[in-house]
Amino acid sequence: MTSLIVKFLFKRLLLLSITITTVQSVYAEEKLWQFNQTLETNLQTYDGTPDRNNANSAGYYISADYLDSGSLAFSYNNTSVNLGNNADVTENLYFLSGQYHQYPDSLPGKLSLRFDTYFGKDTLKYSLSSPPPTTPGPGQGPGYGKIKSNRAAFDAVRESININTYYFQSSFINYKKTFYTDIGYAYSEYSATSNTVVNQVTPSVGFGWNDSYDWIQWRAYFIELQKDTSAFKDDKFESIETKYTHWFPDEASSKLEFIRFSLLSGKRVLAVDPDTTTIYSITDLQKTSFSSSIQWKLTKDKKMLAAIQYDQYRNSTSADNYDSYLFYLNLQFRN
Amino acid sequence: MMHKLLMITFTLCISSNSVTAEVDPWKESHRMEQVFQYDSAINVLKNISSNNELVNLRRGWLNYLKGSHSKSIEHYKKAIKSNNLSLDARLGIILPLLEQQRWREAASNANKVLNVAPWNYYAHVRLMQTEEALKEWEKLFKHSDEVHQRYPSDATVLVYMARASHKLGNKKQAKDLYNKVIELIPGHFESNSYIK
Repeated sequence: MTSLIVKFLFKRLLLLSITITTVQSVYAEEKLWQFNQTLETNLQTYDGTPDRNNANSAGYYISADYLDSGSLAFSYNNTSVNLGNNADVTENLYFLSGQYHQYPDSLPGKLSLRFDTYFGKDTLKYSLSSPPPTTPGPGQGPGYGKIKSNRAAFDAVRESININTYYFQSSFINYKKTFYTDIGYAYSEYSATSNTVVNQVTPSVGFGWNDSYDWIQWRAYFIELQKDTSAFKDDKFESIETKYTHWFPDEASSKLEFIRFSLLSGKRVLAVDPDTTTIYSITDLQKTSFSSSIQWKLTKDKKMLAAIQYDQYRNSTSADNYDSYLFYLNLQFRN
Repeated sequence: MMHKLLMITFTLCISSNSVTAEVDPWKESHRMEQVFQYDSAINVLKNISSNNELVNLRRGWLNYLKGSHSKSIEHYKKAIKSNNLSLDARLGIILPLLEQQRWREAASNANKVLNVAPWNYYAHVRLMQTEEALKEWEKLFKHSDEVHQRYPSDATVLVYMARASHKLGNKKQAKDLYNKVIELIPGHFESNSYIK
């Protein structure tokens, strides 16, 4: 009986593979979906704060583009922050995104609608005999309450915070690739014993020149925290990010693809950056940020991006200023 | 009696006038296209059923000329729906897709044509356009080389081949190819600029 089932399944599999082969040979070049995968990692060090030692992160990102009509994306990211005194924060964050492109005759370019969601959890582990410093790590929103405490060992304590972010964006880029604009709205919720709700509106405008080899983009962040749960003195934060990108001509002699500089001025907290699909779940106030990145084309289907980022933060509890240095690397594969 | 005859003559005149006033929509549409009146060329076809394959092809073409590329794609899609074997419609839809820089969709339609008509010139050239836009230089070189062997006197294919050679770092080969283009079209601007 078992051998009959195996034979039946084998025949079915053979038939299926023949069908697939036939379809592939008829439509040899037909590729409806194009997949892009990215492996990423970063290391972060802190200076001027007793509350954090260092952090590291690793992640995987996959996106699938359906012809020129839209795309789906998923990512997973794991971050660990060493707070010292045997305390650390672990963040597990998932990202799902869908995008749909339209080409209306009334506009001289492409209109895109995008919906992202980020969800995950931060877990703070510390010892009762040596509690963590005043500030929690990434993802530990201002609520910072105990939603569950499991005594794994004699004095080990775990506290968790759930993160949920929803982001909607409408964008436009003209066919000449000289003008880009978008407007996005993000709703973030950090749930512990109390909730922190963050509303963010983030419009952007960009211009290209020199045959679009040079691009400048400004993105504004208007962030509002829900007053009754906010641990901050202010509940409104505004900042602007200026980003310059230079694309290198596609020549066989050069593997460089682009170089980018970015500067953030103003105040930002618990921000959602739609360009890098990053949520700054750190509770502290981000005052300044500067980053520089460079991308190489390793082969026709492989790319590598390296970035450094400097941030200046203010501790929301102790009001101390401190610096953060981040080193980022990713490898991109297309198939 | 005379009065009746006059009435008949008058009625015949009216009906004869109304016959000459009725315009053949196809003829009128082509006349309007020749004088670049694309809206009028489309409007005269409005009484013809939207399920008519030929009218959808014509509306697709006229909307493409008019610059209404989404509308053009919509009509070409209707034409494909009514006749899935139509190479006209597949070749037609590529044009507005290229205008909207929908390279992968354009390439997909070009490949569908090539699957049944392997050496269709227009499908190859339009496919090369997408390969260039997507910076698929190795693919473009190999592809244009194959097409060049079938269409040796075609300068467009040679230009794509030369561009791909240049991007792949084979400058001497690119120069040789541009020289071939000049043999075919002595005043070819891009080739002459490259050789200098």
